[in-house]
Amino acid sequence: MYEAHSINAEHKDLIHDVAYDYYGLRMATCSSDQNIKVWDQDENGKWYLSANWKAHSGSVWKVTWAHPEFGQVIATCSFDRTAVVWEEVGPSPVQAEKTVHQWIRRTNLVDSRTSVTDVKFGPKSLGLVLATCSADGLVRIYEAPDVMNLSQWNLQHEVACPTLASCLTWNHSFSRDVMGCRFDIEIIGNLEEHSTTVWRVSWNVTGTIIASSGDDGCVRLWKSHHTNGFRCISVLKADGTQAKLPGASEPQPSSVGGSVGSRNQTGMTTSGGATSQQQPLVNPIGQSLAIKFMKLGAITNADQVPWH
Amino acid sequence: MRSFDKPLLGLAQKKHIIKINWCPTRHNLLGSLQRDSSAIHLHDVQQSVDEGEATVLERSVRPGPSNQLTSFSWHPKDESRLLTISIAGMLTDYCVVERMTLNWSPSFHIVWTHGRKTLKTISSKDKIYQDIEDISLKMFRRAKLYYGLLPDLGQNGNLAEDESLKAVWKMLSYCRKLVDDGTIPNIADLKHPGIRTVFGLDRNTYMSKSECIKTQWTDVKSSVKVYTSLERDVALQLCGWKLDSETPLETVLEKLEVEEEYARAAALATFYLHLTRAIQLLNHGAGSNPRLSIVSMALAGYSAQSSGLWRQACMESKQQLTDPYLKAIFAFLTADGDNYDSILYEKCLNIEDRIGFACRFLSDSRLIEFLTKLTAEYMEEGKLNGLLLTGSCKEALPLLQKHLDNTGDVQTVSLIVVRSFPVSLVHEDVILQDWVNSYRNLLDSWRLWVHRAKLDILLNASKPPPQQVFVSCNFCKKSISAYLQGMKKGATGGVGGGGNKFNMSTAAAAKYSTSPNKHKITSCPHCRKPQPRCAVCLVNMGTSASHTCIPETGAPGDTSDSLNLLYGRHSAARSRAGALVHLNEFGAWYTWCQICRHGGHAAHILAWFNEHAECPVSTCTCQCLALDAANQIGSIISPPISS
Repeated sequence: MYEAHSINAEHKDLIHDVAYDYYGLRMATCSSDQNIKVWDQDENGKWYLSANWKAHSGSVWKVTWAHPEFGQVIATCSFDRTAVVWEEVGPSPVQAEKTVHQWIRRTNLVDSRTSVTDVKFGPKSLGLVLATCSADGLVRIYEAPDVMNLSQWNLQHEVACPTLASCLTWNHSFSRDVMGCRFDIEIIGNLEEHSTTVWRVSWNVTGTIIASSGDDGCVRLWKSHHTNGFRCISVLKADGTQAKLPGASEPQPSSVGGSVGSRNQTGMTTSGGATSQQQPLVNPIGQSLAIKFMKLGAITNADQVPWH
Repeated sequence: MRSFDKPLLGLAQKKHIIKINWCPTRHNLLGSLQRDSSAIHLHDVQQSVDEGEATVLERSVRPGPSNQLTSFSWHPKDESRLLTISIAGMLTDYCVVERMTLNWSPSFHIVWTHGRKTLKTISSKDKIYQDIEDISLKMFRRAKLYYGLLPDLGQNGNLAEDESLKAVWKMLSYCRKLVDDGTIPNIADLKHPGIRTVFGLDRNTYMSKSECIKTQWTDVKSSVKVYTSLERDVALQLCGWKLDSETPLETVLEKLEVEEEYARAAALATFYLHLTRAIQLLNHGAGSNPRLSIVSMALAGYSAQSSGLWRQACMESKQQLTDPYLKAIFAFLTADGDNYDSILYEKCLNIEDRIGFACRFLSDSRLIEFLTKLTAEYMEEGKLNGLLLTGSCKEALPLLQKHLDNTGDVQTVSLIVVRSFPVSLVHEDVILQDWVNSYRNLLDSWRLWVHRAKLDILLNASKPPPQQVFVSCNFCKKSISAYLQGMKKGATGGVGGGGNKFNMSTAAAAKYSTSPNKHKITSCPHCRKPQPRCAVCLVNMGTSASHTCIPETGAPGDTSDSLNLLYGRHSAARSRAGALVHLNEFGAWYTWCQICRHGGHAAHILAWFNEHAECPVSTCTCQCLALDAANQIGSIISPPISS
């Protein structure tokens, strides 16, 4: 029987998010214990803790890495109604033996009046931009006009969504050059195998396989097929052992497992929007000078269960 | 003591609640059970630090199949474990699974949370990951081997570890060879013309009328209609079917025989109307496949007026043959007039052979019809061999797109585009740019920067990116790089730089190449201010570094040692020439310390730091040498050998 590798995260409460950096060499975790931890990989591929600090005065919902071009920068958002941008300033000289890295709070974004539920850096072609969404359904887009100065962020756009927003994602395949290209949102696969709520979904790097986790305590891997359908190829139990693939015919009427992907007409492989639960897609559309953000479509599921 | 005048929090529920209970193992988690319910509601209370109203996240769990629970209880120690009892008296032990988050890294790790405090990961080294056949992992392995970047197109296929991709690269390589040799004419400036381009199907230019010749079998008294035309010749050439004095049929067959493709060889021989040879080939192959000798026996029975019996027997036994080429042989011999559909639409035959056959035996109108159908077939399946039909041009895009949608292999698609498509198309088409950029981005995130750079070189071979670093005058800020590069474009450039400090518009790396006709520019030609002086020889920059830079200390042996240090492995040649080393371009390059900004001729600075660690400028105490990582490595600086 196969066993997954374990890392003792040493968080004192539920871990809400884990994020890899651009290269997949660093990992950040955030938790209800209000702390953020950064993990690095040693030569043997073993993860070790490189930084740990108290970041917020509430549960930290999400953590995300900026493109390495902007330095070692992460952003976090929390129940305390703030989103924070952090930058690493190198190992502290005191502890030469075990390098502990220092992260400095560069800015505190306090515009939200409710819990900030997700935060994501935009694609680097747009510069250094950050989108946040909050429990009252407002999506805010910030921009740092000077990439050297991470303490200045201007609120560029505020988009109201009809529902409460629990997570958001950027569309990477939209470049500024593509004009007037409508985004067709189609449900390319309705994955109904988790018999209960699906919590999170994640694409592999080419957008050909989706991993999803659900209330049934399993991680399922879905692979896209020629005919645009997705097929479950593996089920991993939460404790890391591999579960048997269930029989195909197992209709679950109560399932809300839905993965909605969106493909633009170019059929990019680096898939634009992976969505879990409900998620307003915020698409930047290039227009001659100013970038406008328009909501092109909202995806709703019948039974919405927000994480937060 | 706190005294509350109102409740901290109110949770309205639809039905009567029969039990509530705080979870003992997790903060702020309250369980509640309603009457006639099969689910337990979990209320996760989020209390903010300041006065704000607490919010509650609700979840419900169904511990079992029973639809009426009467009570539940949390386990005092085990994490999120509870016991329920139903109206039927059934006890259920249930573990509430915590919300799991997961993520997938570009370096093939999947991580998810298990319980509250543990992370679980699997990586590409684990069997389970390999079992899911992630195309990105395959792409990563290929990329590391410089897939698609090898100079010979055909070799790239060998790295793919995939037969069909191998065939595609081989086909591209063969096609390129034909075009480069001039064996086939240059059509529409394509490096890789396709069959459709040859026949002008995509340009609506009608092909010239073909000549129909009744050709005799070499050994059977019968004849078959064979069509020829100029375009057909080129098309046959592309399919590898073209026979002439240089490559007679015999060479082709022998080559196939060596590759042990007896059935294919026999089919070719048959299509070129050499029945005896076909029989012979099959007999050769009988060693490895005894069935072939029986097939050859059947072939021997063929004659123009073959009896109906033979024909019928062939038709029947054809059904039992699995090899598509053997089937094709019989289909050809038993063909009804010139209806060859069972050969043409046999998908297991190589695309080259199907097209080659069609070019030989189909009349003009039917050939066009067949090619149209074949294109549609390959487009629909997204098989890259279809490139033989479309050629590497705009018409191939739907095919590549389909392949990409099917496989997710953005790598092969981008590389084929970069290697074989017209440069102008690659730079103009948004979709192609998207593909290539996604692949470049992938290479970056895998830290295969060298590979990315090589791809960029291929991509921009015709249009190198603009210079990134310039030398400019410190006083008038005009560029002097143009002068230093020999003023090829007659640009107005200023030489110079003043004061003692070096300043470059971008102090990253001096991309500075000297021209063969050396200009002596010691002052800015624009403002006439002198360039900074070399800290060692005190001569203005812009003059060549004189050869006196090499310290003539001690015996020749010493010199050789120091030179070894200076110039790495090229030094042997130098020291033999004596201590007077000839000038080279590198010697006159601007070199400066990134910290103190003092510098001078590269040769002089190298010589200085061979013996010193401190900056050559008096009163400057900068430990320039210690800052130089290359200093530790030694042989990184290896200048070109000057003759």
